[in-house]
Amino acid sequence: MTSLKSLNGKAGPAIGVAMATRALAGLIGLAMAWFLSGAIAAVVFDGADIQAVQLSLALIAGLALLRALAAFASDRSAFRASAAVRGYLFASLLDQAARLGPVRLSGTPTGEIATLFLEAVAGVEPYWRRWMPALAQVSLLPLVILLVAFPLDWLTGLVLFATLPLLPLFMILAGRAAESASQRQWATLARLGGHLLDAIRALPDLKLLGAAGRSTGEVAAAAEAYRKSTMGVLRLAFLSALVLEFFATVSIALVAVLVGFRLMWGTFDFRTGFFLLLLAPEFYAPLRQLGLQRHAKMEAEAAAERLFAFLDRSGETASTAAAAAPNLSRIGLTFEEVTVRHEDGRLALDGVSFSVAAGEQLALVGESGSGKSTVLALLCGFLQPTGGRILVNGQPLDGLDPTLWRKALTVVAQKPHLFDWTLADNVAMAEGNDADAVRLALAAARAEEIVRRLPEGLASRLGEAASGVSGGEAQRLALARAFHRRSPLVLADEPTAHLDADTERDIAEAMARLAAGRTMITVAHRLETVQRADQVLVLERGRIVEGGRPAELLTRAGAFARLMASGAVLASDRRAAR
Amino acid sequence: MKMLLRLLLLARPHWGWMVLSVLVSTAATLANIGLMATSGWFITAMGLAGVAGVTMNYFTPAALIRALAIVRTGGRYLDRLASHETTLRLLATLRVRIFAGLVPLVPFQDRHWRSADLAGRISSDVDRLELVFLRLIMPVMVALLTMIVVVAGLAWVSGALALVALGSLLLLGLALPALTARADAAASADVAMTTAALRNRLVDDLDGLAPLLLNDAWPRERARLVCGYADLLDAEGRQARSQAVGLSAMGLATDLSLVAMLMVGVPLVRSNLLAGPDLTLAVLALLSAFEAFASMPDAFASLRGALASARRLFDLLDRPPSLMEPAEPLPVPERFDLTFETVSLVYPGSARPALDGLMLEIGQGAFVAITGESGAGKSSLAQLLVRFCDPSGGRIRLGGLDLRDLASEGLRRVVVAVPQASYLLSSTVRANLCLARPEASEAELLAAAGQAEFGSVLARLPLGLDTEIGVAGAHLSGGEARRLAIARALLADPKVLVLDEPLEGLDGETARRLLTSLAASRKGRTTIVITHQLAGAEVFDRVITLADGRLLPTD
Repeated sequence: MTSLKSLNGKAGPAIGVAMATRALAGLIGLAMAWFLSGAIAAVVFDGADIQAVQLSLALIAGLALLRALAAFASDRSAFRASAAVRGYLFASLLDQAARLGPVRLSGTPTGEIATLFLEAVAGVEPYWRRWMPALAQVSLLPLVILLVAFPLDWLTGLVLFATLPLLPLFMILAGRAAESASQRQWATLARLGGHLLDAIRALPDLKLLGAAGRSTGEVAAAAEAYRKSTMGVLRLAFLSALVLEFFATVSIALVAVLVGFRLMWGTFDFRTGFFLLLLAPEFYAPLRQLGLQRHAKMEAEAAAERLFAFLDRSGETASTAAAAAPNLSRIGLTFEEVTVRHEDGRLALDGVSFSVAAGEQLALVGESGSGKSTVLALLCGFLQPTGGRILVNGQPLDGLDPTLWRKALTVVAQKPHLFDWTLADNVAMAEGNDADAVRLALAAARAEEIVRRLPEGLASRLGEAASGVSGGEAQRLALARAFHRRSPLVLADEPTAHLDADTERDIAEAMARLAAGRTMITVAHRLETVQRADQVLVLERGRIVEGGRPAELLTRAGAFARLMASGAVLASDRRAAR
Repeated sequence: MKMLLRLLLLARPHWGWMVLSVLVSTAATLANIGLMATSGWFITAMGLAGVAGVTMNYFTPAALIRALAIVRTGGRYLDRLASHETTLRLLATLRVRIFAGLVPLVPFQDRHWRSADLAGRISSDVDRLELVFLRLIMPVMVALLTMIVVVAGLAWVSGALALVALGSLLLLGLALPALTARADAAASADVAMTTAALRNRLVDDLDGLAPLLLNDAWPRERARLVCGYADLLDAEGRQARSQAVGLSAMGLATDLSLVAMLMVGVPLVRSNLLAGPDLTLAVLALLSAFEAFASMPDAFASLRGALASARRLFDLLDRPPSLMEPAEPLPVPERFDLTFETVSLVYPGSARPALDGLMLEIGQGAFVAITGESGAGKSSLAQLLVRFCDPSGGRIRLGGLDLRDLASEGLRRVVVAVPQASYLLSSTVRANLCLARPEASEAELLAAAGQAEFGSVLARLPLGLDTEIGVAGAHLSGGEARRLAIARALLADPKVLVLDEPLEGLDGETARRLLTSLAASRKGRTTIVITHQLAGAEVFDRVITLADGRLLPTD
């Protein structure tokens, strides 16, 4: 998908209806001009009274009603067309977000993604609501007016026809310059808007640095510079409108004069002359309208560009083959030379190989950025290896149905997300859950107290960003979620500091209970966790630099011992030890 | 109305431009009306002369047609230029006035270093007000002037026709747009509410995308979001419908007022009270006058939003400054030891004090860490030191003087804080550093970067100091952004440097290097490092632990 046009199919027949009715409204206008000129000719030249022109007036009123209805139908259909496209785009964006997954999306702030989904999608609307109907009028009305004018009076037809090819020519010449100029202008306008927002956001920092006064001057300078550059561009850009204006005006004046003199010489019929005078401005009006809507189109295109950029990002690769449903009641894992290179070229994992037997506890340690979370992300299916492979019970992971595989997984995140749902729904991650199972899970995670504290117990809503719950409580609820899930493989990212000692101990104990009888991979931040593991892997810059039983590693005085001494990785233990 | 007046007062330096724009635009509109009306009169009169077999003076009307054609063509071009020039001038003035008005109000909220949401709202309110002249004031003024001239002109031809014109222009220019805008108001409130609800849900689900995907809850949430979007489209559809009704009604009323004009005019012609050419003139004048009213629905629809934006901004600007400055500030002291004397701080609306009778002394040149769990009062302490808030009880002394007796500008020249999440300008590294000291030399910039352990990052950046760091520093990692902010603070050469969580996002090795470098380069500067992680604790002279807003006895 590269352009808005490609989405026309999604707009359905509504866009056709919108264009047809818009053109129809224009045609009705021509008919009204015919009857209007007839009525005035009858009154002024034939001395007709009001009764004589009653029929004409009634026809004009009837046509007016018809024109209003056609315009209304066109507006409605255009909206429907744009709504269909927007609905389609919104759903596509949701699917793309799921395909990209949380890890690939983590570089973009959520607010920005939400803005893309809501505002950029709404931003494509003018293309269907304004541009396409305007296009319908411009492609039909001038042509019809020419076809009507020529048989009536070849001279007027010639005047209009002569300006017709000149118009697009001039419009293209002036328009092309204006278009590239105004595209640049949009960019600077966006930057200028951004400049003010930037300055306001930075205000507290500016004040802390005593730079707020200076920045006022900068805001003024930026706006002034913008005015100068914009006016320079606009002087040119408005020339295309001037050209159109010039031809429209000259034609109207010319038609009036040509018709007028022949009327005086008695060689022309007044009604035809007046009708032609009414048609002349209508000949140029659609072009003018199209010029006005060009901005709408450009804005829509800019919005679409942002959407397509998001939709074109490459995400999860579809699983290659659906192998026979494997037995996932117990899980052993093997990494064979697994490499992950991000799109920007960074190497997150570099030929990592290890295995975990079913029921074994593996602890991953290393400084931040060493590749620990990448290992978890691979197992969640949020990233795919760019080299090597991962085997689950001997079968390649990329051959498994992701939904099936994720059912076998429990993930305890370092900063768990609680939804703006009820507490019970947050634990069960579903609605209509079994209250007993939820209570059991809460008990296992030592989280019953939270239920007691909250006014509505299990049915309490946790609110935006779980405002009613402290960090430690959020951890306990996340553990309850994990207990509720009962899957054979647990992936955990231990919380770092921030928690009080009691909470930390409770959580560690709960984690240990969670691990019982399951395969578990933990990104460890606590000494205790490391000591309890069956196997420890030390990661450094995407490679495994050391691995083995924790007791062995401690005595070896290698990377593991160095890490323990630095205290950076196992910060909370140092504090606990103080 | 008061809002609009205040807005106009704010725009006083550009009143001349505003009047000019309105006049030019009105002239162009009237020229167009005149062109059509004169042309209609001309051909009718010529036709009548032809029928009667006489000649008439066609030089005057023909010259008039030529003149009006020129005025219309040039006028529309000048109209566009003048109105945009005016808008851009207004934009510059408005931005500066509002920005300058915001400065004394910072910090906007008492509890946080910043509110991103507030900044976004101010910015979009300003954006909207910038268009008030172009979209609202100018079209209304032009329409009003046009109406007066056209009605007066027609009155000269025929009083009855002038009344018809007045009636229909009032209906089209005022009544219908006002009615449409009222219907629109309810619909747009509905749209805003639906959007907000959908946005909250969307943000919640995107933030929780991982648990949703892992727990097979995504399909359900996806269906809900799609449903929510359909609701939004429905609400927008209702709004679009009321707008479409308004527009179609305008069109219909335009056409019907022509019929009305004929109904009144035809008997007048018949009874020789009105000349034939004058009827044509009146019909065409009215027909082309409607053009000036076409933008009225948009103007009326934008009125409510513009007023709401103006009200929000003026309410904000009318707030008292966030801090009381001393009437006669004392000069900044010569020594910089800090004393907290039973300092308490209770945030409005909070039951628990953030600081509770804190007693603390920090000598000049000390290099201290302040630790404690989140909520222990660490960040409050930093905010108090730069007077982003004042104690609810007790006092803080710098070199023996109460902070409240110093001008806050002067205080912040010697005490500089780097907040937890510093905001970096969406510009170059150099622009960010120079905020602290615009006249700093290249060597000074590099030295500060080096001291903040930003040197290695700088070496990696393709254009060094002139590398663009993306929107709000998005191209930098969290740890890199933090070090850039520290380098910026160092350039200000403070006597007391307060760093709120400077080590977050740094690996242990870098954190230790940063602390060592800060300690080594201090030259008498007091440094207070607020941190929850104690890597490199050996660098500090002293580690102060806070718990529940009080000092925890050292172990």
